[in-house]
Amino acid sequence: MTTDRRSFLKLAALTAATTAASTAGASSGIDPALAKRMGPGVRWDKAPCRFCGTGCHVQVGVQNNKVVAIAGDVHADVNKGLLCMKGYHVGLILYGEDRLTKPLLRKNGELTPVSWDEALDVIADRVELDPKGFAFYGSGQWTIPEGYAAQKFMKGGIASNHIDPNARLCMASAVTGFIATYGVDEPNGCYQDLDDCDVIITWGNNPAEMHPVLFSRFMDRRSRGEKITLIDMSTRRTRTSAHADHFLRFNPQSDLAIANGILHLLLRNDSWDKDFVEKHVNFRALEADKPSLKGEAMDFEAWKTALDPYTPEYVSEISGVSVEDLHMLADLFGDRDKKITSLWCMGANQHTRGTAMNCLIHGVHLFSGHIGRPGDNPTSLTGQPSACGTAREVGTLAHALPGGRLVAKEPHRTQSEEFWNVPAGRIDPKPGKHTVAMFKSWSTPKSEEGGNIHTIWVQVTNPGQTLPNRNLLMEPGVKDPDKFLICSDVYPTATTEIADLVLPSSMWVEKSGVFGNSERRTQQWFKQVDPPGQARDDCWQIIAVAHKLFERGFEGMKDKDGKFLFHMDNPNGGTFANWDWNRYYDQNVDEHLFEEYRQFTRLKHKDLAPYSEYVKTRGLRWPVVEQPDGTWRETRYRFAEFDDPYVKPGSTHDFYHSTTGDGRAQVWFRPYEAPPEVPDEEYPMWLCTGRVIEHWHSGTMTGRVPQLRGSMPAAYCEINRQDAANLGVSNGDMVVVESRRGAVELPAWIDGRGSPPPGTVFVPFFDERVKINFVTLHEHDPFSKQPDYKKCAVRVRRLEA
Amino acid sequence: MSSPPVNPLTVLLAVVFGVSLIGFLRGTDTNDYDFETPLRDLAEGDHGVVRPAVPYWEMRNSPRGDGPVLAADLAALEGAVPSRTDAVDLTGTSKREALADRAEHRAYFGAPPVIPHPVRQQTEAECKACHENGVRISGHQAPPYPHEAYVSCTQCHAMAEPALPWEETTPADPRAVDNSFLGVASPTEGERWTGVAPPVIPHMTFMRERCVSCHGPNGRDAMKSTHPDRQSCEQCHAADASIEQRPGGR
Ligand code: SF4
Repeated sequence: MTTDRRSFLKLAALTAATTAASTAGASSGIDPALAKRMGPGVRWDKAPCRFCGTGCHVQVGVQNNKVVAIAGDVHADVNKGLLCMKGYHVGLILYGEDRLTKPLLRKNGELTPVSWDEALDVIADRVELDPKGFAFYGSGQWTIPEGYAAQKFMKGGIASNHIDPNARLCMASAVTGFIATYGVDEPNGCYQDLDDCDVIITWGNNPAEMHPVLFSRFMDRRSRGEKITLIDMSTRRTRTSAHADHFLRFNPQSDLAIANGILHLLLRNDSWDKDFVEKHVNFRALEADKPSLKGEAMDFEAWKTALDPYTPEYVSEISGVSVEDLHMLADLFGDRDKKITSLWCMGANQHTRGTAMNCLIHGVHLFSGHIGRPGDNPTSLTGQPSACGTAREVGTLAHALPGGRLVAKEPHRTQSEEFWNVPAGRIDPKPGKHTVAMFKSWSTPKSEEGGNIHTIWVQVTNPGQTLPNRNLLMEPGVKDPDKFLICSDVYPTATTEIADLVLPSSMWVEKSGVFGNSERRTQQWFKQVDPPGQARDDCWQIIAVAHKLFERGFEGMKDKDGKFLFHMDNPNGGTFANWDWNRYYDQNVDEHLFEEYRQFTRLKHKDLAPYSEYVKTRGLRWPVVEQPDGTWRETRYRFAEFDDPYVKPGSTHDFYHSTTGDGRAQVWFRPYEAPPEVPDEEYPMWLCTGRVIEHWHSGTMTGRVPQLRGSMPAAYCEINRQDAANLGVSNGDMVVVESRRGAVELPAWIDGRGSPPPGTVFVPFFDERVKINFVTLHEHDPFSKQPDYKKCAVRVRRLEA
Repeated sequence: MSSPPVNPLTVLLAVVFGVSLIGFLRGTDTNDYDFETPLRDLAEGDHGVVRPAVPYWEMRNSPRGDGPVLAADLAALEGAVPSRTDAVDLTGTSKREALADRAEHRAYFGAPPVIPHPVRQQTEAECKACHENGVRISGHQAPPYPHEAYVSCTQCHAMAEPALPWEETTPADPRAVDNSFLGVASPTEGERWTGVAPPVIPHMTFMRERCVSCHGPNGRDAMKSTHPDRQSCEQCHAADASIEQRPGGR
């Protein structure tokens, strides 16, 4: 009771402080109507859902310091009151009985409780051992302030650029695709496209299960009597296919050929948008010697010739999609009156030609002029709640600095050093190791040749389950006594199992946070309940380690004036002791960090509003620009004059970060290339991996929700019934799925959640007991470094009892 | 009587026919593999029995129906949906029982209920056959949904039981731990200004626009309206702004 009251008062003070600081008339995000009464004493407040990149807003009902109910937030533009089964049960993720509540240090092979102070000392020791060999592995589930703190700690503090997010494994190819095409990351359109389009094309994407609220946002238009055409292109039938008007099954990797085939037909039919292309588009190809995202100019005639081979007949042969369906696609894109929205996510991103595939989807839209008006845009989706906000915008990547800056660029380093008030030259100009390279180095004994990463600190993700080819990337490091793994998490996971130091973390509404969703929307929430036991915020953990190092006299944790790198003023004078957990919520650390980070966002026109604006709203889409009357206006459509204030007046469309500096977007020629591994005699089948609606990411949270686990308790091998008959396998029979790298055993399911074609199996990756990533491939896209989890060769056999 | 009541069986048969038609058309599209699995493939494996959901157009020929709820004689469907003009009997289940029964399938008051029977994994068209108006089969009531017709039912409603036999075939799940979440309980009644005034609505009405789904003739006895023939509920029963997500409040 007392705790509850105290924490409530603290929260009230926090809300009041922020509200007071904001412009007149501001109210907090607490819905006054809900706050009054709903059952005895339930207090309601807003928060974005913890799970996917859709970024639905929920209203969280709290009673006696516990979450007791969830409601879809009616005032949220993203979801308009609706959620999916994960969102409705998100409150339950806090209450699995095995929450981590104490720091644990491995002593003689056993994880043993230690004090927080000892844990912080251990980390500080590891940093001091060799700062350049200390790495941080985070995720798109970091809140923006957390990711920003980690970024500053690494690049501005210990001067190691080895920080990467798991987003590398999930949307890095989307980033490289955006940069190669527009010179700047993230979609130009927004979810309003789903309300306004006539046609939806899903490119290897299953939103019915992975972005359910977005799926229903357009499919429910049908129930309201609107006509909307869904074209589902996929390598297997999914729940999305079940609603599709046209289901186009294609062979793995052949999406490249299909996109080129559409371009070929637009040329042949002379139905491309000449006016748009003439004004707003350049043609581009990879440099022959040193290929880069910038590429080199390609003459239009040469580009046309390059597309010559992609006749419908040739493309049909590669892809398995019928010639008629290819014409149908080209005719749609050739029709300017139709508004077409393309959706894609992991199918195009987790691809050894992911950058190329992303460029081609943009290319089809640009070349046909289907871009820049509501309902008519290429829209890339993200899987994590803040993949955009944190990984991409804060830039917690080995090569990046906040706000779209690069460590390799001198002026970018200088600006960052100024914002951070650290001495010139603090930031290392050499990019750090990306995810796969980071874990490979950690799994290599230190020698002249490399292996210099000695410690990785993992926060808000579970690489023990999600890294590809674990035998190569993790097992050797686990066995090497010189290597050290730190893991901050909320539950025991496949990563805490092998970690040397485990830190218990607060999760979701046990802490304040800010997420950025797939449509450039930045969303804020306040802490609403206390974390269990000694669990503490990830952001506090970073600041506390930084302060440990500062106390030890570690130079990097001092700014130019000798102050603590994370120094925050106390409004009543002196320094706010943000490293002291007992004082941590005396002030809003998130707001401090967010306001500091906000300075970085102008360079790429990703302007964020002050923190207090986000308190009042259910998120705002950047660029958020201040108006003459002092209000803040969000932007729904970038690069389009009717909505984006940064577009040159009179130009209708202006790609103002163009890599060619002329306001034009790039349409690339990227050929179809065969995948690195294809089924052969020895390993005759394709394996595709992915998610199911019940579980999110590696299932550590959703697996502890009885309603979700009850519906989908275990991984399975989805198999075509012809293949099942050949193998003599029936539903529920155990099979072995085996690749050149590893094997798993799991039950077969014939036409279960989805239906793969003959020769393909599908395995979801949420189940910790079935580590399918011992089987997958670590080959990755040359630009984004993103591995391909969607296709590799396996053999499947019945497991004899 | 201004308009004749629609015979529920007609509605049901229309839906069944519609669904079969979709199934038939799907079978004839250009894809190179078949996606419907015949029942015999699904019946029994070595490691346990799968309880497949039976497509409705196959129910008449199905050897054992579709689990306990639907293992019923289709003839019993006749007259299954009571009319709004039937006499109302409130003497069955008590309100306490009715609310407890509702709570069983929900994590908290306001959560979408889980589905207590197997459903097919890929299409939702069939849900409506029983849940649009709510048929009663062999004493089991399929609750009609209270919200507008959304397309993707399994977006919100999880299955109470998995579709695959799994416990016997896989090692124990380290995540299968107890969960100490305690959800908010359902309100028991709406406030009345006097003993005879119509009660206000004690719950949010968002996504509960079809009052008859719980309070109509198909509702649980103690929750039924005594006057289902009256169509305009909010004429007399006020929604409570303080518990709706609306500005204002009492
Ligand atoms: S999981 Fe995604 S779609 Fe579902 S409620 Fe959360 S944000 Fe929305």
